[in-house]
Amino acid sequence: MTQTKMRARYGVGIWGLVAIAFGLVFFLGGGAATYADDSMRMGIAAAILAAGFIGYLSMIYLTREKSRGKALISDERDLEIARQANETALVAVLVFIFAVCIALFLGYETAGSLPVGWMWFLAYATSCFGLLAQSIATLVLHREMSGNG
Amino acid sequence: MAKEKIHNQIRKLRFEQDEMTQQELSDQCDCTRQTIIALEQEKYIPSLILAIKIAKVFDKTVDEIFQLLDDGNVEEGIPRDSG
Repeated sequence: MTQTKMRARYGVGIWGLVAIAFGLVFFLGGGAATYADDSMRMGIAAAILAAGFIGYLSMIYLTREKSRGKALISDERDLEIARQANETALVAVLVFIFAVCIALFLGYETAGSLPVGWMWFLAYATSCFGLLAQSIATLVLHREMSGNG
Repeated sequence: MAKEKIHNQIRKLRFEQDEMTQQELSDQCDCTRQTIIALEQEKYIPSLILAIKIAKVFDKTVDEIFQLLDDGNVEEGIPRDSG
């Protein structure tokens, strides 16, 4: 397995778990209406995201390119896959932000204002979604551009 | 615009070279074995640099190994404007 594919697999796992955990904390404890006033939930959500980033960065370090004498674990095909995955993730993030903003507008249009908790949701969810989309796109592209690898 | 693909002779040449393994070829070309697999299955088009490295390993020219497929046909390798 190449470095890119290994990182993408771990990335899907890490950011998938973070997304689920954040979703549970955000929506089960009263949703956006009470989120900004609930320091406990805000702290838990921040800890979840921080754990996700620490786990992700640790994984990047542990799967780094090995020094001389070790087998090559990535090459130009991996770079091409990473480039295309980044482009895909960028578009996915733009669509995600657009969709969330439009949904919030439609949901709160008549009220004239919306709970500030949704801003936290947008910030956290965009981070998770972007990194998750990049990992998933990498795995899909690996499948398309691979024999059995 | 016609859909273009690159056909290659890598698998055939590997077997002609004393059944060279994919790992041996990848080691000599500074790429991964997965890339050799993808090339043989024509799921990946290599960079010019990798194509030249592969050609050097087999002691062939690049166009002896790689042929442009246009609408499913292999081009003859004759320059179009050769007069």
